[in-house]
Amino acid sequence: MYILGQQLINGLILGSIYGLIAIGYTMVYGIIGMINFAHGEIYMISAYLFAIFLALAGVFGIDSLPVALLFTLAFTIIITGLYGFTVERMAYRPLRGSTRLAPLISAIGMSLVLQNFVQLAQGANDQALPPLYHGVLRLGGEEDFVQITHIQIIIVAATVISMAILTYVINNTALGRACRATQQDRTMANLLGINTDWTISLVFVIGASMASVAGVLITFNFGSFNFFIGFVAGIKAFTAAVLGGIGSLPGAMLGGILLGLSESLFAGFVNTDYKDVFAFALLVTVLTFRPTGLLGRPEVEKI
Amino acid sequence: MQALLKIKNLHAGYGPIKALRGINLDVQSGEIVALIGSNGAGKTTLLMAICGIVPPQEGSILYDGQEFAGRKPYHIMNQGIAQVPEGRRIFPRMTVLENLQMGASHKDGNIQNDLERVHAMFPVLAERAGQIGGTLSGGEQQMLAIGRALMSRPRLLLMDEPSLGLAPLIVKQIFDFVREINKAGTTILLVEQNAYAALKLAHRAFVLSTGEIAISGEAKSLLQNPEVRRAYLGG
Repeated sequence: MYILGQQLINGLILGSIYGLIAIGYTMVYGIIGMINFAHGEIYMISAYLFAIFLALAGVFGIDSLPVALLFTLAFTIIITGLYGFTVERMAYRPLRGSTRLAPLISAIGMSLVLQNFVQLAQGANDQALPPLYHGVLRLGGEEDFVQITHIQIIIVAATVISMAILTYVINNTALGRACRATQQDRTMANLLGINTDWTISLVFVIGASMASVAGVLITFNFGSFNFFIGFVAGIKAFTAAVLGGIGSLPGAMLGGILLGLSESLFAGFVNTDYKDVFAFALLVTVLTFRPTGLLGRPEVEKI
Repeated sequence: MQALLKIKNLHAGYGPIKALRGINLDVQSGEIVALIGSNGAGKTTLLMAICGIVPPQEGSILYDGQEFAGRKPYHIMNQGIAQVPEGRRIFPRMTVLENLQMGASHKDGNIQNDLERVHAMFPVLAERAGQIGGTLSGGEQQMLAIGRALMSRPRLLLMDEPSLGLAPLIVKQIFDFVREINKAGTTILLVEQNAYAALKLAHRAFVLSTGEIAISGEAKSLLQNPEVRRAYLGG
């Protein structure tokens, strides 16, 4: 019983992280129909930026942990946003209007470039932060209990807040309308005077920001990272986006949570080594019965 | 008098395919100008070239004295030009209200007046404000497309086949709206396959044939022109 509770909580945390990263995949796919394979690297870079800015916060004499965290989060979001913007500008925009495969290949190239850049600049070793915070909430008795760290609570809260802000911006602001219009009919958006190149850049910045929230939270939680973490996280988040229905924002979050839960339940009750196999088997099963994912829209032929 | 829109020797196309081969055309302030021609004559390409969607390869597009050739659509479309495109192109998963808001998206500040003006013209768009655009009927979508274009208070309105695929009664209604919009001071360049209706409505007309202007003149005189009658008016 307690194992179940614990694994549900672990799965929720993992799923939140997957969901935050999956936002970037699903929004970029929605607006320009490409899979941004370099997106996982943005998440990896945000882990490094988190460590760097945290150290800087110490240098500037910010002693209180919450203040330091907010400072770090803000700067990490800004810099990763710039990475997202630059990647689109350099690697994808020049290829707009060419074949569908060209930007995909460019994305794989960009992913390798970013990985190697970080490896050269920061070293290939695992980096570790000292544990920052120990607060724990225990539910249950002396022997059997469910343990929730305060950091895990922060992760869930931060995910909910980020998703709420994003949903509001997309549904209720002129910027969000421009994004949706560009997604639904780019030529028409152009005809209405929307600078769709900027709208697409904005989507990359939003996606990168969400991934950087994930990177900061997970680094805050685990404290260790290396230049390769973006690959696995990226593949998992991409799976989450496809599972939920690529192009759908709630789908990305739902896919992330489902993937996180199923992975951690499988690891807790069956076998840790095969949890990835189970996750991808789940994907295959869902796609067999719902090819557009759980919340995806079927492609409708334009008349 | 300076023309509101003056196109000189315009060439444009898609890669090796030349859709426009030296177009000369002018639209004076306050006019309805019809552009007629058969399928593939280049009518839509011409409108898209004016809006900067299809980049001109050669020639000049002067709007109110400004050169538009080579400018980006978001620059052009913020200068008082709006288009009602072929096929209406309503944003299918946005509400009617959001579609209208998109029409005014490049204007700052208060759009309430424009919204009221459009709602007064098309009351159905007020009734259906919360409905998803893709679920409207063809005629309602056409009204939404026109309303959306009017949200930016354009001086020049480009309309591409507004009657296409609509029931005859609705077509008549749409043409009445076109006349009304023009009376209210908007200059209109109207592309139509329904040549008879377009010539009845317009002040002047241009006949486009395989990327070139074949005939032009007063709309009334074109209605009597034997060549036009044979090719576009069914005898």
